[in-house]
Amino acid sequence: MKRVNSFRRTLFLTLFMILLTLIFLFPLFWMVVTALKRPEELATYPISIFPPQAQWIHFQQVLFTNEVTDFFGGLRNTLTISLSTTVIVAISSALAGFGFARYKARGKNFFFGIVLATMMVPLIIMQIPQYIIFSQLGILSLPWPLCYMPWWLTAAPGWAIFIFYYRQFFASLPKELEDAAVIDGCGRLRTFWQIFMPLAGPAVTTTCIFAFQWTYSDYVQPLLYLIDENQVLAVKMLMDVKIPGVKWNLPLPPIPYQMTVGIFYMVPLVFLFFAAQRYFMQGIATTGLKS
Amino acid sequence: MKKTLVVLLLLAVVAFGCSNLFAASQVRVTVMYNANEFSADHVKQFEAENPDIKIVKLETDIARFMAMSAAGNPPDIMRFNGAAVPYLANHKMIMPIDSLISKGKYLKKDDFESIVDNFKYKGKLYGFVKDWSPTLIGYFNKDAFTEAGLKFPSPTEALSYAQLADYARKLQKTEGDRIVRRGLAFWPGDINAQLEQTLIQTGTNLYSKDGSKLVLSTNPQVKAICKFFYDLAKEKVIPSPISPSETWEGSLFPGGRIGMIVYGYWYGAMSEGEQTKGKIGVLAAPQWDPKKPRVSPSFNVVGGVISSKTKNKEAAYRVFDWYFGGPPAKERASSGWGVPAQKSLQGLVATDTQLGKDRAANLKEEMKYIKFGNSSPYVLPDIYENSMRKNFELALKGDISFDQFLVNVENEVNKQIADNKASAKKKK
Amino acid sequence: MTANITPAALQKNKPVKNVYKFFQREGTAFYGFISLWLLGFISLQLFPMAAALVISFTNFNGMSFDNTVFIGWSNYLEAFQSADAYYSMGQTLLYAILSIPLTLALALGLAMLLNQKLIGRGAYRTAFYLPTMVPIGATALIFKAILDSNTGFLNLFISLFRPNTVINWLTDYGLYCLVVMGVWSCGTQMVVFLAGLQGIPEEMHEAAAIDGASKLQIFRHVTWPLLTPITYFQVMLAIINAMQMFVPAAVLSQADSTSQFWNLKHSMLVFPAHALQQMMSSQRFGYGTALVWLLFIMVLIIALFVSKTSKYWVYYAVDQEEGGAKK
Repeated sequence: MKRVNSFRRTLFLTLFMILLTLIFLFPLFWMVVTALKRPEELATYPISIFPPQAQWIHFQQVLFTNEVTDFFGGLRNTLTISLSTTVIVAISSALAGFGFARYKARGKNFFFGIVLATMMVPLIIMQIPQYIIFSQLGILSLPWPLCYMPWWLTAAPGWAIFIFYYRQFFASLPKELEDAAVIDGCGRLRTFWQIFMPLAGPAVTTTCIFAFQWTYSDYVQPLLYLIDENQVLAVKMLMDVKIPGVKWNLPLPPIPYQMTVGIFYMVPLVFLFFAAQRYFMQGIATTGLKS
Repeated sequence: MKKTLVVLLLLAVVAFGCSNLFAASQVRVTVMYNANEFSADHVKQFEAENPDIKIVKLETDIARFMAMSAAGNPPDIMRFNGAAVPYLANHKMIMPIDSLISKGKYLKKDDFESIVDNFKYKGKLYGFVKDWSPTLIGYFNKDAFTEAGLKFPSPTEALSYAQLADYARKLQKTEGDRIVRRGLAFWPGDINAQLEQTLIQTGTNLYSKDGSKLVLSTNPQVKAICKFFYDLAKEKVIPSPISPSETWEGSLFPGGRIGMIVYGYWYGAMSEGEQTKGKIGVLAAPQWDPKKPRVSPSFNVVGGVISSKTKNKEAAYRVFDWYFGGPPAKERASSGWGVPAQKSLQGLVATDTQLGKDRAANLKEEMKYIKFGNSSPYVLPDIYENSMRKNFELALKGDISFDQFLVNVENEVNKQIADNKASAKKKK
Repeated sequence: MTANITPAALQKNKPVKNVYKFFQREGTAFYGFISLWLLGFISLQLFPMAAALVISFTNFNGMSFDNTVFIGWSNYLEAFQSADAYYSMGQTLLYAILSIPLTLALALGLAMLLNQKLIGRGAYRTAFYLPTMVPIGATALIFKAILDSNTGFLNLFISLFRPNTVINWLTDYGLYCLVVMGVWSCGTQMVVFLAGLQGIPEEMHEAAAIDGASKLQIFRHVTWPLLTPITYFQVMLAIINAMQMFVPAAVLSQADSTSQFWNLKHSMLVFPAHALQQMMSSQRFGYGTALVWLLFIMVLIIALFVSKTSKYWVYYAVDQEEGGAKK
């Protein structure tokens, strides 16, 4: 009796999960079939779900020609910006988070309050003043890859949410670690770098994944700071997608090609998630985000 | 980590040095323009012809434009609508180009079509037209006309708006409440544009003469025009917020999903689709009042302006001159995606198909009746556009009455004009 | 830093000793570690914020300071009298009220499903996370195609049961469409919950099960309390994100049309979008900035309120004080 029940339960659960997955994946399925249609086929009535003839050539055109968009140029820019920013953010946020977690000082709670408050300040309010600062510093007309300086400069102080996150993480480590380091004659910075950072692997992974994904998909900042030749994929996908062979281009980018670029755009993110998901889970679990 | 920092710093220093070197040998001209109009190929082509100038190409983005302007470093050449010129010129953000034209290579004053006056403010020319269209020229689907038992309209004789609406209702095809084929669509599908261009035909203006007031509720023509579109929208014969198109109408029409599309001359270049090849006819710009002399309006004339803060006028103008008068202009003129603003470039479009012939015949006729509207030097057109769209949607949904819709728009825009004027005075 | 100074040198020389002491102090270490952040905060955040605060009292048009004058509190006063401001704030609050519980509940539900022994768990996990990776422009186009009144897939699907359904989802129920779009990409929240669940030792569940607790009781008395800190953290983040949401609204209402970016459908006009519209397309940068400050104050009030209530529902582990952090 019990076995039958458990079998039924498994069956039910599996079916339920498959149904859920289908619902979640339906928009993605739509993305793929749209990518495979010819631009004119989007205007037919009644709509066809599957294209009469799948246009796999779109995939080829996006990857192997520059006629749709400079895909690999965009990808190179996107990866440069996301990787460099991620590395800087992961380290600098850890520094500040470590300070907040491990040392007592007057004004600490005040500054931590500010860290939390800055999470709530809408970024749009600072855009133009920040632009003026960067413009005055003269870093907006530098050649590649220094044109990504605005990201590095905003990443160098760390991001509030990650500072908070690292603080939680470092606060959960035992006090004895530090005492041992002092006995070994380590300086503060070395204690941080050689003793605490190696223990923070999962936390670093989590930070990196989120920082990477957010930088990767942002298009508001790149639109503000970058010139066309250094532009990232997220912007190119919205503004600079053409139909190969059509010289005079439409007021709107052709949707099937946009979708095709979008699919390739996702590939690095999917890889990253696959590669890092185990650490990623651990990272959040060990922090426990207590208090 | 220290080492990395040092290396990074060094790199930065080197790069600063390099960029200064660049700056010494090459003049940089910043161009903010849409990528599909000022392409990477154009940049390459220009730089090959003019090795002493480097084009820094940016995507059009109003937030960036504002940030750059506020930082005192706006792009040298920008894409703007002619309607924005009075505001930009009045605020001294762009500069007159009259004196530069005489020294330039391509653009010649006696070659300009009258449409170029769209970029004039107080007698001075502030920019140039990329290309333009008589915006009420339309296209129709012959199959749909045959199906509805209608006679094909002539490409040179104008329909009246009433006829247009009548045709549109007959062309509308539904399955239940589902729209299989819409009767009519306008470019761009918003009420502000529809009012703006139709109003040009009545000889009245959106703004008072000095641009200090938006005049809607006291102009009976405005009310009549808006009511016309309001009724069509209510019947869902034209796309509107209560019945939006599922995708851009420009891509629905070639698929036979729209009976008539009033999109302007430029659209003819892409109006034929695979199933509709050879089945597209040209509609002359419809007339609001057929008893009055014929007028073919052109609005939303897009082109370029040069910033008043540009550091190197001559170099900026060379790029400007090249793009608006040089090889790219010729390329555009022969593509049929708009009418050139120079007399010498007219008639380069190929006319080997029936559609091509119809378009040419139609254009020749329309060119005799071209007129355009006015705008205010105190506000950019956007505020009128936003306000119209918002209140029209509310009116269509029944949240506000039709009369309230015009009153609201007028109040919102005029309040802004008054505020802007007052602050300008205070400063002085 | 301190490694070069030997204790012997310190004995002889008093000033050096002071320096040594200075470096030894925890306070110095603290400020040393946060110095980078502090520097960045002051130059790249505090300064721009101060500038933005000043701007909110002017009629700055966003482009040139030529005609800019101080106009006192009138931007703020106008905001309190503006019907659009009230309407869009209502939209934002409605979005937050709907999307936060829905997103978090779904994320928690999915995480709990995935925390069981299942065949192909990794595949499901990826499937649920995948939506967060789709670029926003593509997301908007997909949802536009699905939700369209005429040919949208959703209406066609409903028509199978209720023929001739032509509901204009995007115009009439725009905000709910945004909620659905947000809920669809709950993957980020899901993995955080999932990680939290996996951090709960299996023995605790087993012990409770042996005591005869039902599944619901185990969840109520074991799982949930241990998850509350993570939930609290997620609620806070969700509030901040939901209140500042505008990119999805802008791209979904403009998907596949040639209208300007800031022309949103009225049903999707959320507060930040209204503020941006004022800043960017009506040349009322000062007024728009004032609106954003009001938004910030609103977020701050809500966040403080939630953090005050946290002591009633957030359960803290006992070992909180063991770490280096003293609250």
